Amino acid sequence: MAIPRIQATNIKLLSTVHENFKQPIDNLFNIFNGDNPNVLGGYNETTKIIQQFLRDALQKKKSVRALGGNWSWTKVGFTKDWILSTTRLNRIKRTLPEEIEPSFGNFENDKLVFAQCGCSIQELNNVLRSLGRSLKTSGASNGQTIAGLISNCTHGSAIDVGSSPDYVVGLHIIVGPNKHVYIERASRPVVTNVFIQKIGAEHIRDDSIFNAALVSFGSFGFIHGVMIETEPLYLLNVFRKQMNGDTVRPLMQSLDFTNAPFLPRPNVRPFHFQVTINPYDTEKGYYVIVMYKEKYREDYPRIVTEINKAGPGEDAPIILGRITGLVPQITPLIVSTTIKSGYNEINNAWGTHGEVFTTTMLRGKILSTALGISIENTNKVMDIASRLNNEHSFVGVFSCRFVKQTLATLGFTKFPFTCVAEFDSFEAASTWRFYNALWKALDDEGIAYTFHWGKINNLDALKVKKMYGAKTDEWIAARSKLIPKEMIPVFTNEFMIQAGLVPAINA
Amino acid sequence: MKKTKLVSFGFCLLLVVYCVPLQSCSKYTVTTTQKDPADIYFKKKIAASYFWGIVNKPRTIIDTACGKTGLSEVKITSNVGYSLLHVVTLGIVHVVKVEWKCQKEPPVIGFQP
Repeated sequence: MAIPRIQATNIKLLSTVHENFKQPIDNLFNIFNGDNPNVLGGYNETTKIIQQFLRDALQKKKSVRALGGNWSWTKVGFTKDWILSTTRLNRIKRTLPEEIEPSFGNFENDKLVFAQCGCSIQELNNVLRSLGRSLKTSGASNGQTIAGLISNCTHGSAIDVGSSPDYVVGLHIIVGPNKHVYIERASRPVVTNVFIQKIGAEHIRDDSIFNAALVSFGSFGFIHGVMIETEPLYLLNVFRKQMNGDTVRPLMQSLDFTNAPFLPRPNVRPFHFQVTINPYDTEKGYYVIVMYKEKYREDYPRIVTEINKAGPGEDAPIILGRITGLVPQITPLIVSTTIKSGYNEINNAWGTHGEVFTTTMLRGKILSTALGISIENTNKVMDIASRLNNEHSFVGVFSCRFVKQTLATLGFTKFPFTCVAEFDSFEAASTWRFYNALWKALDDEGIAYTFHWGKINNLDALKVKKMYGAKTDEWIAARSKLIPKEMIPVFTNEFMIQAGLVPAINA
Repeated sequence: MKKTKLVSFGFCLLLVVYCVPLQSCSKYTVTTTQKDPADIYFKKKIAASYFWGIVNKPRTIIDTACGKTGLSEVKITSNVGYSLLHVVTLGIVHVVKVEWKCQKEPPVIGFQP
């Protein structure tokens, strides 16, 4: 019988999936579950070796970060010391009626599942589908782990659902060698003592700690398990159409669909709404994706992916970045050609959540910054970006995705309805010039915005404070309350110090 | 005329040298629709084939850590140096970089305990 183990890889330099930086580290460790067939029995064995790992880190004065799919563009989830790769921790516990508080509502099979931190979104999509269930939302792709997904407030564009932390109802966090806790909201208790006894954790019901821990980038301890609320399997009816800016822009700043006869289902509020803009055709180059949610049925036409189609190679971003740096005049041609080949019309396609938001094959040095803005400012920000594009020849596209407000204390989707304005591009000097100019322009114009924690940003303590105000202090206080004092340095990384998210600076 | 051609050629050469990253020339990836890697970094090995394929070193790349779930993705990279070596040696030496990630084991799911 195999027992859980942690293996040092002796990797000293780690890069992200997007290869946008390399971080020197002391060591990268892989953690493996044992083969105990009992789901929680094996899970609890893994809890113990994580505690032992934290004990070693404390003794050797090493900081620790658990790493998921390594999907982020920033150092928010990195540390210079020990990184623990969690991708192999993928147990999934189905809940039983006696484990769930009656006050949570009538028990439904698999409405709540307890996923180990390393479960990828793809795995969850597959498993939930087999159980007749689905995630409520996710990002555009499926490579993140569940703990990584929520820790950065990954969002999607399900306008009335919210972001990924908003369907999490419990967190099992290992905060030290001798303490692990299960946290949930006091205002919405979910699990009974029966469940708590099975994982052997201390039970905390506290809204402020829970909301703070949701988006905490690994700094509240090692998130070992996540209780997620699912919903019955559903289908998405997908459309993508090119439209004129004049037609779409009113929707982008209001999300009022009562006067939208031009959409595939006239005047119906969609489940998902997203707009991608060609910065070189701001009159007609609005590519609108709408999705309508329907009850699942077996007889829907499956999405067929063209796997033999030609497409950009892995080095395309860096080569195109250099060519456009040398000859900026060809940037509009490159962007427009890329959009034409990648944003073809989709008419009446159907798929489950997992089939629509599937594996991305994008590779190479791509960059992205994403700003959370209130929807009233959507067009204003897009106009500023267009104006700056005239000066900086941005090699990429503008996108807007929309979600309702998150309850997570430092969730960047903080406005009543947030437009996540994304600017995806290649690694190129013009990209950095454009990003810096855009961030400065928004500051100069006094437009309130936040940064996606996992995407390119220039966050520092002042900016974080400006963006989140008193919530920054609430978050720091919740962290100090939860984590044993001696463990604070273990779970503090360089990014947090830079962002002023440590008590010493804010005390 | 000759001078103009030489200048144009030189310019083109400079452009190519500037634009094409030396570390890579062509990369190709093999994966599956169920790609779900256990590894967060690519493991790498330089593989060489000598005398038009008579000898391979290593003969086969074997990853003993992947277990029963096998590989998630494999990437083959060649670069300008490798290509030059191939041409200069008339195919006697052929080098590629091979990178791969292991696939995750399927999740353990259940109600227990």
